[in-house]
Amino acid sequence: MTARLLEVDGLSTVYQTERGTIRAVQDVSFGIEKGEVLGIVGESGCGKTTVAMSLLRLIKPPGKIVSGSVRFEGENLFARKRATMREVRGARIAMVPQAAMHALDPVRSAATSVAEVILAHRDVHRRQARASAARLLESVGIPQDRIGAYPHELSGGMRQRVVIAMALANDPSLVLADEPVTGLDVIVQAQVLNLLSDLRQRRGLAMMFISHDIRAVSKISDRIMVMYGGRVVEEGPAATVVHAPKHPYTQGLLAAMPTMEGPRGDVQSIPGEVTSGTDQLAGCPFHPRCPSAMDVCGREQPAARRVGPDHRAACHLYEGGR
Amino acid sequence: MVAATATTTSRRRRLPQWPRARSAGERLGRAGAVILVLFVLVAVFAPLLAPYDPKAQTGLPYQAPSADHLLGTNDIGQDILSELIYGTRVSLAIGFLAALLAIVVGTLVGVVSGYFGGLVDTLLMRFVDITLALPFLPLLIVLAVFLGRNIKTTVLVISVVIWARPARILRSQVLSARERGFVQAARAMGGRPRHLLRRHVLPAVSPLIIAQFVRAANIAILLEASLSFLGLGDVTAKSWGTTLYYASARGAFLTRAWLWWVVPTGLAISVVVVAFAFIGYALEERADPRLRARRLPTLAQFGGAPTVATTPVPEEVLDR
Amino acid sequence: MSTVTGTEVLAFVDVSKSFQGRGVLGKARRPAIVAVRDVSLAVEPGTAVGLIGESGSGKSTLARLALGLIKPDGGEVRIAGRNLAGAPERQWREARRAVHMIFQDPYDSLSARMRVHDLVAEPLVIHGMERAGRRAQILAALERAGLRPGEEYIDRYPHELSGGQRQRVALARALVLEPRLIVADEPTSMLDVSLRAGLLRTMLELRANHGIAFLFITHDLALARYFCDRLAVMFRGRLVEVGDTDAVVARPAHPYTRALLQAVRDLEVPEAPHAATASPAPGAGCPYRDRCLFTHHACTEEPPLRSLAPGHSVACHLDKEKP
Repeated sequence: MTARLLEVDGLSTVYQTERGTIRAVQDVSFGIEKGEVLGIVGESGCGKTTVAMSLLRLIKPPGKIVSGSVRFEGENLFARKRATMREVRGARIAMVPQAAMHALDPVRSAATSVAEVILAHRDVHRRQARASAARLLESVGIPQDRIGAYPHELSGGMRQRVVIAMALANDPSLVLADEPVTGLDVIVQAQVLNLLSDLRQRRGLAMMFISHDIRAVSKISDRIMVMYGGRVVEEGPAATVVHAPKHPYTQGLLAAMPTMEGPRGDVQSIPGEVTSGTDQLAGCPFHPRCPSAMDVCGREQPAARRVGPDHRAACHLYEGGR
Repeated sequence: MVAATATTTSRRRRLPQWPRARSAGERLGRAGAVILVLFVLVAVFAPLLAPYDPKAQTGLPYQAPSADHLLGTNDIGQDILSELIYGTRVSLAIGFLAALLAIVVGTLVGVVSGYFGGLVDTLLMRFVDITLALPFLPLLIVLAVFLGRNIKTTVLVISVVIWARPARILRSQVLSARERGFVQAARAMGGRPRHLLRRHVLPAVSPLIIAQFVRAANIAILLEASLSFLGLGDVTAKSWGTTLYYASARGAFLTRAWLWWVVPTGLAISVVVVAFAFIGYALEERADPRLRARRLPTLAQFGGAPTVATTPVPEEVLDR
Repeated sequence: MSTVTGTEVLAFVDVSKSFQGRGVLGKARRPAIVAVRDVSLAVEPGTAVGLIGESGSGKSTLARLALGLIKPDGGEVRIAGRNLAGAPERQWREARRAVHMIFQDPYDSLSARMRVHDLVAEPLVIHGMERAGRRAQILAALERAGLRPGEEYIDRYPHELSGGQRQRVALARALVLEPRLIVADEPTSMLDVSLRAGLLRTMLELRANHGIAFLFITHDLALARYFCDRLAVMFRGRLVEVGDTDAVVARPAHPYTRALLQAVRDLEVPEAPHAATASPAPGAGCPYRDRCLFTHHACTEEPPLRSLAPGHSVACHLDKEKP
């Protein structure tokens, strides 16, 4: 069996606060193949951003990775010396953090920002870096006459393209994109998603696409992983998860989203509040809000079970051949 | 709302104590507060603590420290230790009063300027700019000479010099507070400026006002010492600065007398200033979220989920 | 163009607003930004009108005009039939008993220092309502906003509540004076997905049971479709299409509306490459022409808002074509 590009096993990350320990990520395991796009969907407090930060070992105190392993291209990233992670970040695994378009250096032009990323990892001449930067920016759809523009002169969509160019600057094999289209206008969202899809095909990129918007995720992902309360609740091929979800949370999430087709009033909300890592519940994190909750759900954490070809859900409903 | 938790840790609940300081800054702030309180107590209980009346001649002049006079005597034969203790009153009083006056004026100017904007803002800020542009020690000296040398004018002169900076800082804070969602919401509800200022804007900037007051008090005490040292304060009042003035004027720096005439007083000034600085540091850290990086975050900062019982993580999972 | 009948809770009639860039001495230096131009829109009692548009479309400006937070340069703003454009602050304050607003950010729109009781009481305080019976009014408002039982929430601080609960507190605050219209500026966009429907369901109940009208600003078309009776699409300050929700969604007439719907439904974006910056196209003519795929010579002239069908109007020279 060929090893997957990224293999995460039993990852757990916590944050220490005055009131106790927040288990942001609990026992999360998944993998991404070469060239595959994995969408991670969840609401606030589900741990999706923490997963990405943990992969790149960007967790700082009061946060701490307490267990698990991450194998990237066969290598255990957690075994590396911390300082050498810099060689991985931005070069082999690139990240587009949340609200990155707001974090662009206001005194650097688009071309300079991209060139800086290249220079940080490769020993090339400044002019060469700038030339590569210009090409990159063109490939993400920024016309040549705008590459010298400063962030405040660019629209939201353009800025996001700059950020994407920065992520691709050193030809990574994996890109972690955290809410890359959130906050953009609807039409621009579609354009950026198109761009990402395009780039992924042209460069054979693997991506981890993190978002709370399952619609956006489903348009570009091969597989979807749904997280809730720090745990993985469902994982499977995108079309299957969206059209035939097995976990009550995924079902509830999809039912809670108004659609453009179908009857207008057909929207159900999930009662209760979203569980976050601060609520240390025994058993399944979703059970207080679950319409199908059983006794065992409050006692035991359900293990991930196979509910279809390549499709798993962590739910007691699927205990042994249902 | 937090249910009693059964812990697997062996930590015992000790007697109720002060909440644990959350960072180095907070520890410093507490140390500073303790020191300041001590000085205030000395000032308040001066008559009980000082061995003699500092204005009375209780010994021969220029005496070195002895059993009778722990810090020796000055040029007139007054006890230096008593001068130091009573001086605490004058120096702290002038410092606090000047700071209070400066902050009151500075807050008024800053808030009016920041909230109302327009012509008022432009005019007031020009005034502030001019005040800030003038070098303050020469300004201080000129005003002191011009207005005469007594405690009232010293307080006035110091506040005239230090009101401008807080005004500018508070104005910026008011400008940003004005744009906050809850202020906009109150406007949308039909709130009058008076209501908005009183209920929303002022409370939002009050931490900064307090921090600025601490800073101002710090500077004021130093300025008072400077003024008096130059002989421009009230030379009949017993403040730390005047003690130093006479010490210098009577040649204490040329003999060994500086050891007991200058050093203790100088030390007192330094310690008070450092104490204020520590307090200010802790207050600024509290007010500025960016400096909070080292502090343990509160639950509220994680999105404020409704309070639910938390079971602590067993010790072995958290390897320290 | 929606004919103003006089029964509307809120009506804009040819409203315009520009913002001047300011120079050093307050003199206009940079070119004026046209935020809203010649917009006419009405909200009937008990109905919800969705205001759709991208950033820079002018929808937030229109919201602020509705509350008198900014004054229009031209046109009328009518609250319950009375034109308040340019009226003194005193008259607006009176009008703000009937029109309230809830904001996008539940973390910023509530003061962290005040308890829920004081937060919801603030409109009562501002309008000088008598103290007796305040608590009962507050509890009633909390319950109507979906926070039941009210007693459990009334003494809490905002940081003890989740985003969804905070937004309900904001809603209760808007309800306490029993308004006729609530302007909701993206009220759910910062909430978790599973909570959005709940808040909207509460707002729907308020419409049905209390006859409260809504001006619902959003960029999420699916949400607008769920909640609103009518949709008004804005682009760069101008109203390009307005009509009943079902009609606009099923038979979008303006190319921009069509582009929006396409973008939401799938990845095909039927638009010309985007103009690089967000600055508005200067000069006369249709504001959409530099992005439109269907431009022709007539588009150098600005199209007026023409009626397509009863209740459905569009500002486009192509309105004769069927989509």
